[in-house]
Amino acid sequence: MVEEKLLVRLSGVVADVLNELVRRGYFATKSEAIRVGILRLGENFGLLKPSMHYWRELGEEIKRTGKRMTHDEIVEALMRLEQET
Amino acid sequence: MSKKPEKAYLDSMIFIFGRLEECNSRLVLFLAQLGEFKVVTSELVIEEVERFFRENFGRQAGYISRRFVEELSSHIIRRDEIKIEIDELKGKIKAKDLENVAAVRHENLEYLVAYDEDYEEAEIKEYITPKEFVKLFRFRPYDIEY
Repeated sequence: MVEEKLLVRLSGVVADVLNELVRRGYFATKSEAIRVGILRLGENFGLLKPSMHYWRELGEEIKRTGKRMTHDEIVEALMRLEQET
Repeated sequence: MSKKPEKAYLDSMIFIFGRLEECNSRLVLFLAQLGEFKVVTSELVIEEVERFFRENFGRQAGYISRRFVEELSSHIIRRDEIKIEIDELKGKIKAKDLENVAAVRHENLEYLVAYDEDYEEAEIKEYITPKEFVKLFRFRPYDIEY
């Protein structure tokens, strides 16, 4: 996997928007907001198929949490979800 | 031989099991990503999927799962579009299934892909299990129904 480290200087409206995105809780960190922003650009310019990207990213995020759910746990969580909804 | 479906409504469990287990729901999602059929979902499906992943794997997983469902869907049915169908179905099926069936009827869809015995008991004609749905594409499904 390619890795890039960037130091980005932001000011004015761009910095304001970034701060607001994190303040409102859409993203946990500024880095996360920037990553998602770049992916959106990739989508807009047709560089990636969004659903496949999110499919893979969701798998990676689940793996990152280290949590595993058994089939029964999934069923139980689903039932709880349906009842609460 | 059955004709390949062009469109289908996917219940939230398809997205949840499809991401977490090697099963027919995953095959359904792969077929959708390959463009074999168009996915229809609803606000309810998006909310349930997001909530499931957020509660079990964190906020970021919830957000990504929502984006996945949104991007895979060719059409997302809003609640205010299905009020009439919901009123018609009230009392005939369980409350938890109301919105899904109403959305399917509103869009006149042939298939509601899910694995839930309540749909079968309520004799929802559009209901099809992931296993049976995969077969329509002449794919060899896993033995499990979901």
